[in-house]
Amino acid sequence: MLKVTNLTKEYDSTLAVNNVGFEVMGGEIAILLGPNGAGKSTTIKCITGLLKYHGSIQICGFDNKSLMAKKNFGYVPETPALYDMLTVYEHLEFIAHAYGISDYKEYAEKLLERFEILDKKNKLGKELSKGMQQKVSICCALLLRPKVIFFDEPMVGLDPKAIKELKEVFQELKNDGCSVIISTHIIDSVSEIWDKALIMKKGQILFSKSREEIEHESETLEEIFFRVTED
Amino acid sequence: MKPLSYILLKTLKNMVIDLKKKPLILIAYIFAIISFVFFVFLSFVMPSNTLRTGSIEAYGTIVSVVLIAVFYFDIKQGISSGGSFFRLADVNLLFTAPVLPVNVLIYGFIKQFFKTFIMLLFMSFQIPNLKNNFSISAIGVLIIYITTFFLFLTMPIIGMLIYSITSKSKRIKKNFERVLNIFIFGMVGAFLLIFVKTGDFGETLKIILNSDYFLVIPYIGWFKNVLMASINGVNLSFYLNVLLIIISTFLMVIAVYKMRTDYYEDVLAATERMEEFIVNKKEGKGGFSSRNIKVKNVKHTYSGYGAKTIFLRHMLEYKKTGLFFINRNTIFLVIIGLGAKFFLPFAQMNYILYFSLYILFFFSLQGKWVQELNKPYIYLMPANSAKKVFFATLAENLKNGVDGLILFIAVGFMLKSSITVILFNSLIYLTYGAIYTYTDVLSRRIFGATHGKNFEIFMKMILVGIIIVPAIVIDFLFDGFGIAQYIFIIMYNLLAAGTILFASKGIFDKLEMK
Repeated sequence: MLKVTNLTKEYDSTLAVNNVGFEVMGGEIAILLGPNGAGKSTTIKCITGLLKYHGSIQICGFDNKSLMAKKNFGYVPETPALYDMLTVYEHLEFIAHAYGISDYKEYAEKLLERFEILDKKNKLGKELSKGMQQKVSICCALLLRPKVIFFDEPMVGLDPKAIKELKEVFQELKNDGCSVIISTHIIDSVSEIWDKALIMKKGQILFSKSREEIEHESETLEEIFFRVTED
Repeated sequence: MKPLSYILLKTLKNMVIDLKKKPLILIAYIFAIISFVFFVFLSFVMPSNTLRTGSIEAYGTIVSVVLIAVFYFDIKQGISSGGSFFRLADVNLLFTAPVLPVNVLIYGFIKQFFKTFIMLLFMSFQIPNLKNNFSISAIGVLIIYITTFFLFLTMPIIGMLIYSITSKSKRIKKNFERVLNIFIFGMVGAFLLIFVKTGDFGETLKIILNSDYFLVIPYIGWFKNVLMASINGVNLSFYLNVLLIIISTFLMVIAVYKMRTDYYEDVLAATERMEEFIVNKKEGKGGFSSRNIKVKNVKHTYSGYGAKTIFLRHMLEYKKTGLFFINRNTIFLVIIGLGAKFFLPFAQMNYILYFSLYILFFFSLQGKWVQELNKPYIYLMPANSAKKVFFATLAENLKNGVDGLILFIAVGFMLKSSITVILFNSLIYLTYGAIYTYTDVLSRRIFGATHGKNFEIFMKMILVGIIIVPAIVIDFLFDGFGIAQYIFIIMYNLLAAGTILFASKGIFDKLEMK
């Protein structure tokens, strides 16, 4: 599970994330919504330890920068970052060894097949289109079988088949007890799968409710989003 | 022109405002300007030709090689994708706006004008070196500055013009490529013919590159004539060639504009290439597109887990792009090392060592460590920070060792140096490489990683300058002490690199990804 308390991130005297706190339990899918520049990606980058911050972040009960926390989470960045000189399969091999996973081969092949890039397994990272690179990035994160996983705008650049497959993956991760955090600004793409919605604006969480909590309300998530984010 | 001058002025204004927010960068810029002014001043006032006597032919050979390289790559790129003054923002916003193409072209010129000043900054560091070796007067220095400025200003125009012509049909493109190849083969053929007679590599190069025929080649020859005036003095030929360059550049600009009023299409590919170049540079890949690097299919197995995987991956990448550690950089180093002997007959082992260390600094800016930090994996990996630093820099250190060994074996063989001298020079090269790499670690530890690339390079330069002072002092104090001189430098370098490595072992607990 993930627990974020009083998270604050400042860039050159600009508050990108301001005193944010939330929790995502195991088997829960949380969506982080917000207009451009709301602080979604910065929040995720702080949680994954790519940025310095003030506050506390616990992943599976460990500090997010500890080795135990790092072993337990996966991250799909907003922009896929592949190595030019490695093939698709070599990326998975590298990640598996970096995380100390030895029995990965069968699962790696399965993931590549699922995202329809098995035939591209010997292609170099630099030869892939952006969508393909995104698929490899997703496979790398899933290969870890993480207990907490962060997706930053995961659907961007994916074809409809891959989007459908990814939505199924979200459900499977949830069923396996994984905490799933998806940052997006396309509400439609996640409207059916979320358990908890967090709406950010100007670095703050302005809305945080579970699906059950708003089920009896007359507003849809989209309507809530516009009400909360419009000045 | 109003919207275009608006962009230029606003860009300048926003740059100044941005600098106000980042005082460290402002200090770096001020320091850069002061050093530029200092070097320009130094290049004018310092006495010429006081250390060694370089011949006019040696100077002519250097000028010719530089001009051939600059023009060859510019024309080659011109044929394939043209030249460009523009960024993608210009393509998306300006090219589609109701602004006269000629005004956009002038705007591009003004932008290029500012960019070429950066070339002059790097040029200013080399002039004292040239003055030490050749008889160059104050007027000569001025000629070098102005000619370099003009050369880099005209390069994109030549690229644009060539692309305007060659993009019309595949046949024209092929013909241009043929002409370029004929020129190169012609040079090689002439070299071989003369080499058979002289039997001396360096002498043959001097004869070819200082031949009168060379001077009549359009543009290259004209530029050479002008640059030779810095050592020969200003004469009628100088004025004539300046005139030829100005008139032909003016005609080329008109041709670019008149040949196709829609030149926008011609600069698209080059602009994209330029954009990719800038992105690569920011990522520490040295600007050149990795698309052009041939990648071999090699078998590889990871023999470890955790942070060691980074080292094993670097080894895999080296295997794919070269013969283990031997790649384009190694070949470049050896060519420079061997070439130094031909261009500068007085060059000795230590001279080649100093120059290779200078080049190594720039190699280190695009090394594996720098590239590694641009991807999230090293930050996310569940491994100890010290191990990450060690393994992420290990392959680069080994490569420096191999490069140094190959370079000094080749140069040592040529200079008939002893095995001990070869070995110790290689070790000095390796340890300086370690200093450069770990200074980058230190620089990130002190300044973080959120600043621009230029600032990063500049701060690293200053830090390296400070850290290597004791090594320079040792070099000076123990000059003539034989092996002791080498041993003390190596010991100091290892101590400095080791201390920095130890002090920065926890860097990944604090470092932010850009």
